Amino acid sequence: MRFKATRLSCIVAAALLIMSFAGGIGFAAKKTVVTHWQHHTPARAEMVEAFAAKFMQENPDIEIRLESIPEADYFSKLLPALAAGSGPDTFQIPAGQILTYVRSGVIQPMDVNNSAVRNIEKEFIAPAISRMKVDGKYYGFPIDNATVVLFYNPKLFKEAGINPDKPPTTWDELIAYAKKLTKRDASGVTTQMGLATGGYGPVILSLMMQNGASMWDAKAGLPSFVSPQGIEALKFATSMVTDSKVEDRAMGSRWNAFRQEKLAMVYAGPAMIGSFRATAPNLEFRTAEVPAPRAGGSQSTLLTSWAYVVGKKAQTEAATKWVAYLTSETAQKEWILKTGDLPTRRALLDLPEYKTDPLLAPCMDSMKKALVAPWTARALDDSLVRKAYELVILKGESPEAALKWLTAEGIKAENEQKELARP
Amino acid sequence: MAVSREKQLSNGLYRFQRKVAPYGFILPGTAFYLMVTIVPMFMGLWMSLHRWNILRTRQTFIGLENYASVLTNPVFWEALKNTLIYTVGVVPVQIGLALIVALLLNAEIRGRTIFRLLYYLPVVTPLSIAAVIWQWIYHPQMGLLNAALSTFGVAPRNWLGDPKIAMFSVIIVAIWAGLGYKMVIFLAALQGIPESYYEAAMIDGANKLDLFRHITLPLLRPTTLYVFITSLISSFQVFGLVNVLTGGGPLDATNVLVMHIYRRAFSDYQFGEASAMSFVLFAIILVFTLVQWKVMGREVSYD
Repeated sequence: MRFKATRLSCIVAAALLIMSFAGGIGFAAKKTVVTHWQHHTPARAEMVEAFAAKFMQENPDIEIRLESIPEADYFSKLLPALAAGSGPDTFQIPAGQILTYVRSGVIQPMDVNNSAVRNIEKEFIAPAISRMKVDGKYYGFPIDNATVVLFYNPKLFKEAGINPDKPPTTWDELIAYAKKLTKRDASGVTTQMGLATGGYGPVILSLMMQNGASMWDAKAGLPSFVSPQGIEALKFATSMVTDSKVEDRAMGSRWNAFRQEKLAMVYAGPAMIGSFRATAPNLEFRTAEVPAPRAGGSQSTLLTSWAYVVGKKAQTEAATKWVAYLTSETAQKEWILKTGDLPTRRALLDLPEYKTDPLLAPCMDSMKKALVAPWTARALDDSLVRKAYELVILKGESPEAALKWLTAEGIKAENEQKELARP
Repeated sequence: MAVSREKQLSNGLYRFQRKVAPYGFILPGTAFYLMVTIVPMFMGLWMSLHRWNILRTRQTFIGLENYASVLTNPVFWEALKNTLIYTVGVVPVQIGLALIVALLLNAEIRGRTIFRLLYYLPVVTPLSIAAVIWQWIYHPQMGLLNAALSTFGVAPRNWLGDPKIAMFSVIIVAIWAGLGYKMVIFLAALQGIPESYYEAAMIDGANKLDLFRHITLPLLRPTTLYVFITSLISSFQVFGLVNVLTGGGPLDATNVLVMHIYRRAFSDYQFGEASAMSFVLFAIILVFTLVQWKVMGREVSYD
């Protein structure tokens, strides 16, 4: 009898224990898990971790699981994961790829009940969100937004007898300054460059845009780079290396050269503010809007951006809440401060604290004048343009021939992209 | 006479042990190999016959169109040319140097253990770290190489930025990185050659060159064949080193085949074409390997 009672109480205790575990698991299952992937920089990873911690405090029913992947490996991890159905709930992709991902059925529209989504057009500048909308629905919030500005070293300006409070405002002035700022030793080896573009695609494209080059055949819906304005702009960029010799590729990385004060002026994205601060804390530098081709001319630059999107299998409400949080006004202020990523919210672009910040003010102004590329092929944003530039400076091709090549390759790339994005 | 129940069971167990159990033991390894190598290979072949968008579930069958597109693409031929230049530059030089170093370090010299360690160190250095170090060595203005050459009055060169010499610069790094591994293989093979062969030959009046030509080289043939084939295969598949050192530039001067395949797949989303290129590369490697086997393998003796 006693043995039976003992056995019975053990069974009851075991049952209670199992039920409490099940109850615990059941309770834990009520938390919605949002897996978030993005490509990695140390500053960005740290910031998103801090955002996640705060978000989870404010939303205890949502758990954010972060994965920060080196950019070189990002797509080789993301694409197979999406194909296998094991992709993340939220992730970042280039804004121009949104249509491809929508047509492929791997991302979903954001939750329209979320106020940030409903007010997106009111709160964000048009160029930043123009590519996020497909068939009347928004599929992402903009992130990693970059224009092009001119970074310069005021100390080197003073040494060359140039007033650092008056950065160049036209292309002619830019080259004149650059010549004064270029130094060579007795054997003719460059010891200090006046100016560099590095052949970086967004810079070259910005120069073409400023010069009024069309770059797009609206009728055919395909790239078209050959125009007198485009040729002039490419000639201007390449002549820094070949003619005026204010840029010397033998000096290696333009970023290292700028950090070591062996480069006086460099075209770069605003995110380099954060990079220079982190890697060369003693470096004195300033920013300015890019010079126009001529006085009173255009200072537009290319806006490149990525988007935080919501995966097809994600819980829409929670995932949208998270990406909206990452691009909220508070978050964007943090992004500007710590990484130099530009804000895309209208309310932030005219904030007095940025207007009076000497480094950020030119960046905010550049954002207001930024233009979005009409194409969607990623290769046209950088790699193909860089190669066209190299055809001129390394192979001696004429700018016209290089732009003909760029047009032909650009058409191939854009057609491939259209094929990927077909319904 | 009827076989007893015990004997029947014992025969059954014996047959099971001899005929069935071995398959059970190799099954996990085989299944894993099939899963990670053979099945993906056939999937790749299937992908190469389609316009394959990895993000979609339904794909368009296009037959051999991808192969036609690959074989008529000048960028593919340029990448193949670069890969061949890399292979021709790396493989024979690396093997030759590895053999020379192995011969030297097989001799009884002071500090040979230290030397062996030094030669093997690049093998255990992560490729990305080695590539970053070499980027600094090759730096046009601050690099060690230009600084050393300037003492001999040689003008500085842009080792990784000049399309005419960028591939040469990559080849040097590749030779440096892989030399130690081949050296170790040759060293092991050299130590496997019986001393008595050399003694007998020396008694017959053979000098050092004779010993090398008539004893060492022939007996190293199996090892040389192995090293040649594996080096050939790995040089055709080079990617990591080029990716970090030059990214395929400048102006595609170091754009090798695997790099081109990777870009077409993961940057341009053209998985069908990338798969087709992979199979073309496979065919090329196979042909080279078979030719090599035929030329070098017929006199290989494992005695």
